[in-house]
Amino acid sequence: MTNSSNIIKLLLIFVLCELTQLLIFNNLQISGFINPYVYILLILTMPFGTSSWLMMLVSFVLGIIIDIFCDTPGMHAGACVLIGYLRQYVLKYIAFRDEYKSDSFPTISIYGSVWYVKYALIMVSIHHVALFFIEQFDTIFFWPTLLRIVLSIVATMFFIIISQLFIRSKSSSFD
Amino acid sequence: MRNFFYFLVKHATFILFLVMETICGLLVFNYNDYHKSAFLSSSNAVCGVVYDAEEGVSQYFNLGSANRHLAAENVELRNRIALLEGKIKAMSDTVAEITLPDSLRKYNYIAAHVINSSTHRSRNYLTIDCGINSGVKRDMFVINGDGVVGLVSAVSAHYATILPIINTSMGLSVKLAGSNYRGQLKWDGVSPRKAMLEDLPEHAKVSVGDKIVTSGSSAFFPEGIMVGVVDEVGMDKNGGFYKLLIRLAVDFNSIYDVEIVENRQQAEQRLLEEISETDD
Repeated sequence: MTNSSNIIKLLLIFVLCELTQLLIFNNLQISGFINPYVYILLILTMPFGTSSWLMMLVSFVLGIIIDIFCDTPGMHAGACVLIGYLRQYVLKYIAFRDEYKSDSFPTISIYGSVWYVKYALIMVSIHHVALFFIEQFDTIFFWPTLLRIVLSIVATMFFIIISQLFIRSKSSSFD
Repeated sequence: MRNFFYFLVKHATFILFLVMETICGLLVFNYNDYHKSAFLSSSNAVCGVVYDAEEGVSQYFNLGSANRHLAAENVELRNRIALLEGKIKAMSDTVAEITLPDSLRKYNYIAAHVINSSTHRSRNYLTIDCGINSGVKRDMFVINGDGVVGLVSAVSAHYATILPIINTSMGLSVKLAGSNYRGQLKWDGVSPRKAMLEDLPEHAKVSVGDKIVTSGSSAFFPEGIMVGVVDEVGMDKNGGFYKLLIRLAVDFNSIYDVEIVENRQQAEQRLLEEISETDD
């Protein structure tokens, strides 16, 4: 796979993540407690070799666009930059027995479902905890916020894993 | 100095991380100021176009209930017109016919549609499809057939952002319908259907089901617009005041048709208030 086709693929995922988040997932306000933020899938799927500064820059742009649409300046961007920065450490922490290939993508089809769920769960949890506490920092309702975080993490994980099934079927038919 | 540069290079990633988080932090903490700029809020043109397209699709699913709602409102308005016509007829026997000049009309209504809304955050906002070109300005108040919705907070050419009463940074002066006992309506961020009413003196008689309306003490909202009904009666811990749970009249989960209300005498009213403030 050439580098430029990777960039086009990532740009497509970027646009898809923003649009599905804004038009579909933001409207899924099931009982007001489940707010899945699936758009961070882009941060999860950046290739292993991506440098940290590019990772953070992409995360910032991804987050700030959601912020502008949702009237939450800085909140999504802050949470995204945090996981963009921490991704290298998370990857190191749950390292597979082999080294990661720097131009490959962290997907379920390459490194297996157990590894991927672990990876996604850590990243999604950090993002959601940061985001919900920044968002609610002026209210004192700790337990409802915690419930919101847990339910939303479950929902986001559900949609992210479903998206991985799509990627898998696609890559197996194209490779 | 060399050590300093060495330090910078060695920790470049972490420093960049801190810089970016600081930018985000500044955005978060200057929240209310940024909301006055249309650029950083959902009333900017790009967001408006995207939300407009979305609403174009999703409104079809709500057309049925929106129509029933508007029809009910029409019936109520017709009834009120009939009542007023009857009154005018009864009076015209005694008073010569009067024609009212248009300048006496204090309020001007602009119809708009909500194209995006949130209800589950502590700071919720609505985006509507009317802007400066339709005559919408900042600080105009927004209602729908049920009652008070909020205030216009940012405006672009074709879109505007509304600060609804279900936003924790919004306070609204309200009163008990049919009396002059005033209190402050505050949203606590829990349910989009309920809000708290504080500072209502304890000698006012309050029972469940009493109507709460705007008090008219600010230049933003006129008096007597429906806000909600009392759902639970409680007392403030420090005593002397009620702490009421209000069931809001407007259902923010299914809000679609709204009216922006221009108070044509607002400038005059505020000028007077400013003069009297400087006199104090």
